[in-house]
Amino acid sequence: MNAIVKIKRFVCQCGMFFMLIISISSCQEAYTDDDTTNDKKVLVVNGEITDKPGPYKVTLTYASDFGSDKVTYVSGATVFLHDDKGKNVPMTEKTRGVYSTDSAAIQGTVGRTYYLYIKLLDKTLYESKKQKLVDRDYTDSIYAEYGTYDYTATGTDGNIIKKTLEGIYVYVDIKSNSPETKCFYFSKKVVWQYTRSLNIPGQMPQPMYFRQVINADNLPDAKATQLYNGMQVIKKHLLFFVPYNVDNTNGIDSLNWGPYSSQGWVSYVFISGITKEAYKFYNDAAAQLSSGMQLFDPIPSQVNSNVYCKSDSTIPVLGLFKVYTQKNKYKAFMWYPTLKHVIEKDVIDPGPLVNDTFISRPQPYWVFFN
Amino acid sequence: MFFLIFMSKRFRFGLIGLLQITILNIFAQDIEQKQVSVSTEKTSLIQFLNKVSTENQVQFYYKKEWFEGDSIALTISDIQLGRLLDKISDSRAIMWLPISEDAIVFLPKDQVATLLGNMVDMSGSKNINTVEVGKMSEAGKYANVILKGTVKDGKNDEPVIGASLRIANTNIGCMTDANGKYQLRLSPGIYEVEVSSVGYEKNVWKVKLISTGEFNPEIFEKSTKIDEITIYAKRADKNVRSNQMSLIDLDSKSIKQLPSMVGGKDIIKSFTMMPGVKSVGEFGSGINVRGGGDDQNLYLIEGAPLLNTSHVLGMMSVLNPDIVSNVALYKGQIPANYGERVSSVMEIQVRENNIKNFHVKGGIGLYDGRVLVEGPISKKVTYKIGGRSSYSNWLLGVIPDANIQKSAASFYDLNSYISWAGEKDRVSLFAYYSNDYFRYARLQAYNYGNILGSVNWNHYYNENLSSTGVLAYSNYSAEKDEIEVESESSSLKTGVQYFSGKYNLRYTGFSSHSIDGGLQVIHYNVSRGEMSPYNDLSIIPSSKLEKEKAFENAVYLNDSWNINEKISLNLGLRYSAYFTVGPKTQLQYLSNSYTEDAIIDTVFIGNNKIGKKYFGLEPRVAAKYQFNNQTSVKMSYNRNYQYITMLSYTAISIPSDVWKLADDYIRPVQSDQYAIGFYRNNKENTIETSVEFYYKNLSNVTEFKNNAVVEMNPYPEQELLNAKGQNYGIELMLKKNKGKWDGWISYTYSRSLRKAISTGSGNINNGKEYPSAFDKPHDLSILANYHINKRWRMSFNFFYSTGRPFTKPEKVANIENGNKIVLYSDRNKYRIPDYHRLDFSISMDESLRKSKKWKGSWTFSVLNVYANHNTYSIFYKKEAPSAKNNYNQFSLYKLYILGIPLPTLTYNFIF
Repeated sequence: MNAIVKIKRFVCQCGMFFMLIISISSCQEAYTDDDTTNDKKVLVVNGEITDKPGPYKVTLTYASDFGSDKVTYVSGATVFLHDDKGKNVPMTEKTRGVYSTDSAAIQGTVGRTYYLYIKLLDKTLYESKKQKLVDRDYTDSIYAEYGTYDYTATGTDGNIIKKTLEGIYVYVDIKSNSPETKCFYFSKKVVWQYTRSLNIPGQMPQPMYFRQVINADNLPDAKATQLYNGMQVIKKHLLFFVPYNVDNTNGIDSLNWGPYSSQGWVSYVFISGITKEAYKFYNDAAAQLSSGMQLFDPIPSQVNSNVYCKSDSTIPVLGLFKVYTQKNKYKAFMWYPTLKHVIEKDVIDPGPLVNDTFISRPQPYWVFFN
Repeated sequence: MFFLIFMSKRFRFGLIGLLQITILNIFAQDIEQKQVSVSTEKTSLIQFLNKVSTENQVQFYYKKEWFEGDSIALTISDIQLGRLLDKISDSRAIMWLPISEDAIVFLPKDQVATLLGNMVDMSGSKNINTVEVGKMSEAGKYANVILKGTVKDGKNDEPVIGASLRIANTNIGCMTDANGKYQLRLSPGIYEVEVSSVGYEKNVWKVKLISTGEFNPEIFEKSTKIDEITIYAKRADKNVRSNQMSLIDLDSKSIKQLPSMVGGKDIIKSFTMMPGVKSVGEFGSGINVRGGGDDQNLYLIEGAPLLNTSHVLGMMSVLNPDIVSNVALYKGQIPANYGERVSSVMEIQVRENNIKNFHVKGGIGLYDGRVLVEGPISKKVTYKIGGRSSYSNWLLGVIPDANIQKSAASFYDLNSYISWAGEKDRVSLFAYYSNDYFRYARLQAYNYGNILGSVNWNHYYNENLSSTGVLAYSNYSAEKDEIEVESESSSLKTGVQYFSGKYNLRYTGFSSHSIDGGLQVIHYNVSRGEMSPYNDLSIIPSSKLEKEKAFENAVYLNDSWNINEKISLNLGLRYSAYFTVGPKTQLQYLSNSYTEDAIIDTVFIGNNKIGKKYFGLEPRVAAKYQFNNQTSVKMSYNRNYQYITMLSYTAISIPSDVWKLADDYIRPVQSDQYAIGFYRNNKENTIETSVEFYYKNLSNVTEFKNNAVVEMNPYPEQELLNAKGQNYGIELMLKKNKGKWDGWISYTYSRSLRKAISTGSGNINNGKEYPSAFDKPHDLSILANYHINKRWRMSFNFFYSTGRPFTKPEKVANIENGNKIVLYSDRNKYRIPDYHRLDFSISMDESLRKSKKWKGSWTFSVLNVYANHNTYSIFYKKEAPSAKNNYNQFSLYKLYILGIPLPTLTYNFIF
């Protein structure tokens, strides 16, 4: 785990710990003020190139004021994608603020270096740092273990009560013979699949098939390998935890449903081999996003973009131009209280990442565990 | 034999030469008792003396001009000559002295304080105990002699530090030093010596000072009067008269009067109620003096530096108040015998051991308990040993939070103090050990502590020359265990070892100079990081950063020079020489931009080879002009160098902070401080007022780049920026020392600004000046004590300060997967809301009956009486998703520590 994230988290924990020692009176409350003064426009760049066929996109927006949702797209910019072979590929604005290469114009190649050139209408120039597309020279393994998760909640009487969830922890291992540290970014989604019987009076119970997508990308999850026994290794890196009983009754309480059955989880893990710059960006972002009650008020982690303003180095830029290779890994897991171990199953076609409800027969990508 | 010399030609007698004092005594008896008769009408005194001389065969010697124009009328028969001469001299500025069987010499009273039995009497006519000091055989031998000794607590024979001795009807006085000792230079004579100290009854002795000698007065704790409780155990007018400025001085009696914090008295935190001393946050660790960081304060206990001052992350200080006798905080005008830090020096002295009886002292609070035993081993050897321990784990078990219930927190500290006192030597051994442990759930564990030891040797060569030698050792170590993820669990150890040898000579042989000189050698050994796997399952590789080693040597000279009654100077010079010692691997950079891109080479400095050298000349100059007994003005200039800094990533220091020695790229911090102060006391020193202005210029201050990582970083210079700083302010103090109501009002207006020097990437605020984390312009503290009766006391403390600076998120941007990042403002652009808090406490002091063996006292206090939600920090987090906030919005939140009035109860005992 990145040191900053650790420090931040430690600081946060110490804060909670300390407060609770001296008194449970400490608390947090919303803070409002109206003294924020920054009218400057800050460019946000979200772009990428991979070793998969294009088109590749770059989205240009201006950062919104804190507390606001307003997204302002940046139109009319001149955007080029360059590589180290002298190729300059223009990116055209397909929709407002979204710039794209032609699909045949360029394809990312492992070992080559790419950067972005942006010129706004006001003549301000931006460039990304040059980054090399990294190789896929590693093996990976995704697996799960049974475990519990403790948390506290406020009961109906207002008292704080302790709760424990049973479920599975999903991990990833990575190994590489490379002599150099490798950096990875993990994006993950989980599909919770289950069946329930719909009991309609006068009819036979009707099994219904559900798939519900859970976003497990709460924080940017980047990780670098460690040298261990002569290999670059990531060992037992936690991807996510999924509880056995998900208390999900939204919208179907009024119906006469039977119990959950055939519960399982299908994980979609997208492993990206990224550059060190991108790794730093994600860690900085994670440090920011995980910052909570900062008792000791650490210095804020400004997330440094790998795009910079060439016209004026004092103008800040946000976002990332991501140069990466990617492997998609799909695996399904099942566990229930009487089961001694977690059942795992490799999945080739996990289906789309969409919610399916009230499906009366299993979809083609439904994962059967028996 | 003595040789009577009159210092002025005007009074030089040719007829008095060598005299034998023993003979004088015999003459005195014979000639004084001689019966004489005299009868005369009003006539000149000269004629009268001639008549007596002729009629009684007595010779008188004097200068005619003394008696010219003086007349006398007497009719006396059969009177002793001594009584007759008394009648003559009582109403005149002369005294008489027999010099042979039939000769008398007259001398002016105000110039001659010489011979036994006829000394100048400055004591007035009070009927009080008379003490004779000096050797009869030396009577009259010297024009100036020394009155010295030790002021002791009559109850336990412990020296009383900071006691005030004052010679009545004169401007002469002094205070006792750390060993309760004092020294006054006086003419032989009879004096009324007043001795007082806070919490003690004032006592007065008539001292007949014949020659240099010792007088060891005993004073007793107050037991009857309630209207004379004084807050400061120092000479009442010390603030005006002392040559020292920018000093806050607390002794054990003052400490007793301090308000309670969490867990009882907290000596270090109590200083934040004084002008110029602040704390970054509520219960934060350490203090900030005149805009400096906590690492810029040198905390010395018996000469050994304390490198972490806090238990439980700042909840309370590691200093057990029971062992402390005196704490002096030098905010400016730091004497030349101190160096090492640029902001302040806090000198903490351990209370002298009880040499009469065995005693046990202790206290029980909500979170911790403490006990101390002390007593004599022999007539010369005494001991003190004590400890303190928390028992707060029970609290964790009842807190309804799963993680907290799995957590642990504890601390303890142990201390011992052994002293041996001979006739001219005094040796003391001090040892201290503290340990803190806490674990948060199964995520992280922390273990840190201090080990301190020192040997102090005081030697008195003669009445003018004394020396102090100190050997000190300090070791701070911290271990952080990451235990959340078994496969990546790790243990990180950091620490500092400090060795110091110091020798100081003090010479007071000149009438108007007090000279200190000495030398000091310090060896630093810094462990910046040693990482190891926490268990066998961990893949974290073992790694260790090179230790950093260096020597800091210094020689110094300090002269406290009283030019006359109004003007005094303090001149000091310290010369420090610092050099790093190998083995050390360091990078060489292409330019002053210490980045990875600019690396051109790696060099290795061999074992015990000298690396980087720094030399610093540190002048210390101060002057005082005293308008009168109530008013003075002082000014000072100080230059200090600091060769070790703490790399603290947070506004408040935490145990994981790493110390860093100066090297090729991280230069020593330099401070130049100018200060001027005006001091005035009123109503017999019961009302003290002071105003001090200061300006401090700092160079080579270390600031962090954004996202700096220094943990296990072998080349931290790449994460740091060199900055300049300027701190300035005005400090006002109004203090009432006596009466049913006493207390003080302290107000400070100050600024603490920094400006990073650009090194290309990562510069702060584009090179513009910005407020440091310690910049709180307005700071007000009010302490009011109400003494209900002899034992009951109420205290009210009120604090107000400007909110400290913080960096606020100004912009927000979407990144992939629905996550957002923010853009922070310029560093420290905004401020958290102002801080204010009222505390209340009521104390029942121990029984005043001396016969009672077990004595207990209670303190009940309530912190934050009106439950103000003072902002501790401001942070942002994602709001709970809702349609209103589009399921994805950040908001700002404030964290406050004390949300309710927090009661605490402490019981202290002694038997």
